[in-house]
Amino acid sequence: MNISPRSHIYRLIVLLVIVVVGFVAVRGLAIPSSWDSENFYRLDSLEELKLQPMHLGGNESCGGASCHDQERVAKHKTQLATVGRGSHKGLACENCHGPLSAHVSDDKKVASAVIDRENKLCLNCHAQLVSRPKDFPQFDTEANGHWYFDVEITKPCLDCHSPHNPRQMAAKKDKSKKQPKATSEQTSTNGEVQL
Amino acid sequence: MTSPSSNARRVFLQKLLAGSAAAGLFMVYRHPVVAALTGDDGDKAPDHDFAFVVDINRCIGCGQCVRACNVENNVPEGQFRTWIERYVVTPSGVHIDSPQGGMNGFDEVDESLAEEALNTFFVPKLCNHCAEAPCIQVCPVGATYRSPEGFVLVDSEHCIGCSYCVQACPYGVRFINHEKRIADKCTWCYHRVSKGKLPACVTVCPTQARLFGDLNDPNSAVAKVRQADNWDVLKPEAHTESMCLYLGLQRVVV
Ligand code: HEC
Ligand code: HEC
Ligand code: HEC
Repeated sequence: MNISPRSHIYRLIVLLVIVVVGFVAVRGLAIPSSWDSENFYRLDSLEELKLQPMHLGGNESCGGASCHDQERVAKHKTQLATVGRGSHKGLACENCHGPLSAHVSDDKKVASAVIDRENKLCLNCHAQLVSRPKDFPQFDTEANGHWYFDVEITKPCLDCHSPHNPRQMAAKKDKSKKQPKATSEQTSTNGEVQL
Repeated sequence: MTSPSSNARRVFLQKLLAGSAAAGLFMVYRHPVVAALTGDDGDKAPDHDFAFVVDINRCIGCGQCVRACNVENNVPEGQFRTWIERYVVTPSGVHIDSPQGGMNGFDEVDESLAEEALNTFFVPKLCNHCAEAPCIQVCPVGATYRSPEGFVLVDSEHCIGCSYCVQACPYGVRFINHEKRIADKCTWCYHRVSKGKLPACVTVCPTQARLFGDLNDPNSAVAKVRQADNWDVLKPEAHTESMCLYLGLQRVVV
């Protein structure tokens, strides 16, 4: 039997090498390739997060090639500029017409945008709530125009208000309904009646 | 007494000292302080420094922002990345409600409460994208981080869903997405902002109660708000360096 007197050292060294190699291997597998060890996160995740698809387009996406800013369709379709003139100019079309992704995807129209003619749509923003800022216009049966025409909260808002320019009378006129009469100074240049 | 063995020990100790000094030097070699001293700063300052402004005086509680956020980010039903709280301050106490996160707007408060009310308003809430975010500090796997432009984000591949961050957030903006089973939160619509768009909630807000922009751009609305210096942050005592500046914030708001 000629066992080396240092064999216990060799065994220890072998064990140490195994542990170190094992540690380095496990660490290498556990740490993602794009790891930023200074800020402690995976850099690739930034790029991955950017891939999330968008659903809302914002008003800037309503213009475009043959859409809501073209002369050609101006007669038939509401234009960005129409809404841009009235007191609803700060609103997003998507507030009332649903997200862009349900209407257009990959620059192609996939479905008509939602058109909601219910009073609920208007009252979502205009119902009278004590918590709303006092200067925000809220539906009030006592307000001049409403009191004069006996407007109840159930009466279709669109009978009188154009959704795109609510201070303007709705385009379709039902003669049987009481409508405020236009005086000469209330008539704007394009012949539409201003409230 | 100078036996060979004690000499060997001295030599060993000397070598040990030299070795640890060398190792120590090697470890500080890439340290920021060393880098600064040697003028070797690897990364330059980021181009953008984003911030969010919430104007409580303008919020009408319509819930458009909450709906837009849930659609844009496929947030599971019943969970919210942003929501609206209604505060009704009365002499007998403060009443706070947020039916379904305010996503369908609010019904009028009870008449008795309305009569009692001294003050009432809506408070939109979202992630504050804190510069000193507690949620990042507690994450055991580095799955949440603050991007160089100031977005506090979750790495969905890396998150293990331990929900430490949910508990650490003083603002309660984090939750465990019960479809994906990982931590979820407002990203300030990182995917939109990186394409030059505004966050979804800002896009749809009818009263401009929500603003988003770059503090490095002196003409941006947020930079002007910060300049005007009449803003507050939620829970300043938490020292989170919140990046959501609130206008018209009352002290009752928590
Ligand atoms: C306040 C809610 C509201 C907003 C904001 C709004 N709409 Fe409308 N929109 C309506 C309603 C309600 C109708 C249906 C009107 C009717 O038929 O009486 C409608 C109808 C339409 C129509 C079909 C009728 C037509 O004119 O041909 C188009 C197109 C349209 N909107 C485009 C837009 C665009 C573009 C924007 C943004 C610039 C916009 N809308 C913003 C509420 C809104
Ligand atoms: C997403 C919220 C929202 C919806 C939905 C909405 N509005 Fe408005 N509305 C506004 C805002 C914001 C203003 C501008 C308020 C201001 O100027 O302070 C406004 C202004 C108005 C005004 C003018 C008030 C004034 O004094 O200038 C009228 C009238 C009006 N809306 C009616 C309607 C009607 C009718 C509908 C439903 C078709 C509707 N609104 C839907 C947000 C909304
Ligand atoms: C019969 C026609 C009619 C109907 C229906 C009607 N309104 Fe009006 N509304 C008016 C007129 C006219 C005014 C202008 C009042 C004024 O300028 O003082 C007005 C004004 C308003 C204002 C502005 C009030 C203010 O303080 O400046 C709001 C908001 C409003 N309406 C919302 C609504 C909503 C919401 C509905 C549906 C629930 C509705 N209206 C239904 C005729 C109508």
